Amino acid sequence: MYRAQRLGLKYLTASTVMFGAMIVFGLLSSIYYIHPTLLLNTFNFSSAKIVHINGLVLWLLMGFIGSIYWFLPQEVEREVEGIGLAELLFWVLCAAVTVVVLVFIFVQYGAANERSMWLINQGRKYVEAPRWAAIGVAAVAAMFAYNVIATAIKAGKPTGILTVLIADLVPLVVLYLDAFPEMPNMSQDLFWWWWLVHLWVEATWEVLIGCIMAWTLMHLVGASRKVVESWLYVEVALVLGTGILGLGHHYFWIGTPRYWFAIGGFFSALEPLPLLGMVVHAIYDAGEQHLQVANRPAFYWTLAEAFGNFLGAGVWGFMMTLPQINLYSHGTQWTASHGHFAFWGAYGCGVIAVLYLAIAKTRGHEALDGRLWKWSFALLNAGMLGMTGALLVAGIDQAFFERAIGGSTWDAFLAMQGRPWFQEAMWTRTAFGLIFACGYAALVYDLLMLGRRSEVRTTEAMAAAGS
Amino acid sequence: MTPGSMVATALLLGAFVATAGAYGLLYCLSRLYQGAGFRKATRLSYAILCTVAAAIVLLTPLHVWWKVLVAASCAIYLAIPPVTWRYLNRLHRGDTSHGSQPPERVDRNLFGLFHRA
Repeated sequence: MYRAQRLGLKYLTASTVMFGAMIVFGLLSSIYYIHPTLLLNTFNFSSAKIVHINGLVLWLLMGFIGSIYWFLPQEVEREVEGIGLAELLFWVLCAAVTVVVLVFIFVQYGAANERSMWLINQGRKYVEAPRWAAIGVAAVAAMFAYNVIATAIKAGKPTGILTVLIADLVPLVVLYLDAFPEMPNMSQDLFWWWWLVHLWVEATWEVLIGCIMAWTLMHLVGASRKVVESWLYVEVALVLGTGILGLGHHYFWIGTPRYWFAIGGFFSALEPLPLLGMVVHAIYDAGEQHLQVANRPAFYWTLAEAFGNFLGAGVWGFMMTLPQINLYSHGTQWTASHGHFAFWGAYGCGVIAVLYLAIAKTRGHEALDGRLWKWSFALLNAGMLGMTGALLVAGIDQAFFERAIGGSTWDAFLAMQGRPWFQEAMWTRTAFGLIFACGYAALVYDLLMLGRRSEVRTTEAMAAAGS
Repeated sequence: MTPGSMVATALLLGAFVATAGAYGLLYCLSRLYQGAGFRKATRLSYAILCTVAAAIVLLTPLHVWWKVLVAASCAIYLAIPPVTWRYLNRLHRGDTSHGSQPPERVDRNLFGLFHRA
């Protein structure tokens, strides 16, 4: 095994830990809606939400980085360039994340001055890590980009997947720098801030997961390079073609010119089209394999990625993306519902698929099946469906009463929190959150015990199915 | 737009994409299993998709250009599964290095969507 693959496994392990932290703080955030005075003035909702959302970003980002470190040396058949420094930066990143989480929990906030920005909270929504940590994340991302680009150059083997990945890493790093400057004009500030948030999620991350899924399919079902690369080019073109200007749906209400209504609405309406293509591709592959793949958990999580992406990003997104609807729905629990489902479908399922693939190969089990992964798969997906369903009900109720009838006033907001439908939806969300947490526990146990239980079948027939 | 029509429009828009997904899924299943039942279900799902699109166009207070976009999307959704399937078949047929066979032969006729070529 290459050192880069061992590093990849460390990143995937750290990613799984962050996934757990995200769930814990997500559950805590959900309880505030039921008991608003919980931990009041001790650990407020805003702090829990910060850890929850930054945990989401980090577990996915670490999952992507880990997946690429895992696949990259196999792709170029050599060790990754600068691996020593990359290993060092992994531990630096883990230490930095630990310190930041502890600061978020125990310090939380400070005076509105430079010191707080550098040491406590940068004050940028979704990228709240203090400035020193943000610079550290940028350094890790730059080092990661260097690892990939230098390795590709040294190997002299610019495969299609690697070329797409390299082209994507440059905007990935550059867009993160967008987290730093702050502007006194809020419209301008939000205009550029959305470049980071939207273009990371709906452009650069989509390409990253596309590359990772391409490698996954090659390793999982033996798909040929020519097939996955051809498909990757088409997908990347379609996703970027619709996703980049889909950015406009974030510009509807921040003080930008009116033409963003047309641009944002039009390109957002096109966004589900390539997602349907992905669903067709997933079923095609499933049909080709007759659902008989050696590593079944990884295969099913790959399928879940295609369907979850379509439902979460496509269906949930299109419901609320046109300006006339978005006027009422933006910033409600409806948005939270879409966000949860889309992140889970587009990225979460993909990272879990790579986890099963990498760990099974590391422990010498090409073929994999059993009962526990099915429980984990069912609980995680049922939990997510339940949470997003409940949030959707709450969000529609909010858009209807608080926004459309109540006129988005403070009184309407407060009245909304006590409405039965909203309250019941919040309870339901927490209940399904607990189911999701049980699924996570089953996932971790399954991954830890993988290869050590009798359910793992390594028959020659199953191994042959995966080769 | 009234509060009621806002919710109804949003739900119709969601149903529109969800039905497109159901159509894509059933189309693929009909190609994989070649059963008459799946073919009928595929036609039915596309008919429902057209009905939802018609409801959006006729009953909702969306701006006319969004209605045009929904109607155009409805037509494009018809083509996506067969075009994608044909593309994937062509890719796999052109590549025999991994020994896999396409799950079904190529449908050459886009508009003869529900008929075997």
